[in-house]
Amino acid sequence: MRRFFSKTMKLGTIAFALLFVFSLPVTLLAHDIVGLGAHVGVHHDVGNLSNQNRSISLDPQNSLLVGFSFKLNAYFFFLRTGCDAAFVINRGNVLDGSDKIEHSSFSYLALPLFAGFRFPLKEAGEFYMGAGPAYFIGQGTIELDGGPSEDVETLSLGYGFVTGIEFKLLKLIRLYIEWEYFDARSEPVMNTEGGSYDNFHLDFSGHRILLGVIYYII
Amino acid sequence: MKRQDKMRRRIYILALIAFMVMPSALMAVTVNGAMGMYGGFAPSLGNDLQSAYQYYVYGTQSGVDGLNRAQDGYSTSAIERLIGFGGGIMFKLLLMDNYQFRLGANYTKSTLGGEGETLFGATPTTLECKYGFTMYDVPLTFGISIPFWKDIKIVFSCGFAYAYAKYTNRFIENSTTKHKGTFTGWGLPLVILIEGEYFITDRLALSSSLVYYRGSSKFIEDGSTSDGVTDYARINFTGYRYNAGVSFYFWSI
Repeated sequence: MRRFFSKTMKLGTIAFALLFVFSLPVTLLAHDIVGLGAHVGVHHDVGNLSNQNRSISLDPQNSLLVGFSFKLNAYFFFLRTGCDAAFVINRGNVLDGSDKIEHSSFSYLALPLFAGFRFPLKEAGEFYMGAGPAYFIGQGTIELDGGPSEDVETLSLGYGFVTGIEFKLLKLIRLYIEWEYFDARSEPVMNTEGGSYDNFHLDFSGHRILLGVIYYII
Repeated sequence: MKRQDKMRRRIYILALIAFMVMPSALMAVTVNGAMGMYGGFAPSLGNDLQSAYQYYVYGTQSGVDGLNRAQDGYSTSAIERLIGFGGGIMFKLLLMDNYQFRLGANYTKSTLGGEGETLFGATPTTLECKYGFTMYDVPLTFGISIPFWKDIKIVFSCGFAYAYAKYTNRFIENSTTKHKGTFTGWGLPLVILIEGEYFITDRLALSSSLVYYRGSSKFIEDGSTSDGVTDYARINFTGYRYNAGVSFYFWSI
């Protein structure tokens, strides 16, 4: 836990420094500087159960993402943060009996911070590409074969990237499509192997596709 | 010399002349070149870092992911996948403004993650783990370059890379027994690349790229024999790389 908070402090300092650097040229630019967006998206195979037990047949969990984004543009750089809440569309079902897990369903809150390059396409919009860390606050329910279900909660740090494109709809409003990928796993949270120790972790890794609208307030 | 051999020699000479004349015909179309350098990061370098010893002795089906275990009364810490940092240089040949060949040379080394303490066995036994990964690769891709006015170029390309890597692992069981593995090998992973370039002058551009590698080496035998254990592993090149850098075009775009 101490290690986790030390990491959090370091990342917080880096994020603050980046925000400070980005805020400097803001006053020098005329438009498309600070944007607030809202989006929906999907995340397929939430939990990556088949990665933890490669012998299972799985009907993977799918989740609906609802969230907002905050984007700061400065020349050819951008910073993007926000928050995504993942809601279960269908839970994950293990189809054969080779694993103790019968069903799983996770929901989570993702807090990413990306920094990268933006490529403005004149009046049409822009293309952008960045990378960075993200925190995941996850909770879920695991139903074991012949046993009770167990609720789990965890906080994890992961890393990933974003690439997206914005199309101008109105003077200050743009439509955006983003592809995000994260690599993030929690510490072990429960026992699914029958041994004496916890082995099962929540895996937040995977691809997300988001579709949203962003409004540039400055 | 036989008549047949003479004929064959003439065909070879004609083919050689045709091959040498071809570029002059190509020069009729727009040709440009660029070189650049970049740095970046690679989450999940070496993928799950699985090996036969880890599978059979420590009972993990998914390498480092499955090795993470915890129990009350035991001191454990998370072993995260490796995060690599690296850099590279590239050379690009652009034909007719819209098509490009890209040749790169990259170096990536694991810098964060891959270290921690876990448990294994029916009677929990502590296990200290440490992983390392160093990779050199030469990707060659062909793709479409889409220019947007004189400011931006967006490129989609794919191809393959010659990748050479060294993967190491070290395990200390119960603070006494030590096992280590060293795997050195090569592979030809698939490469898919998306790249954006922002021209700050008519020849100098800031670039950013996202690259996906997919593939692994053949099974490689452990090169460390001092521990008396022979391990086997595939070096897994699958993963993403995010790079940022600069490109310099030989001629104005």
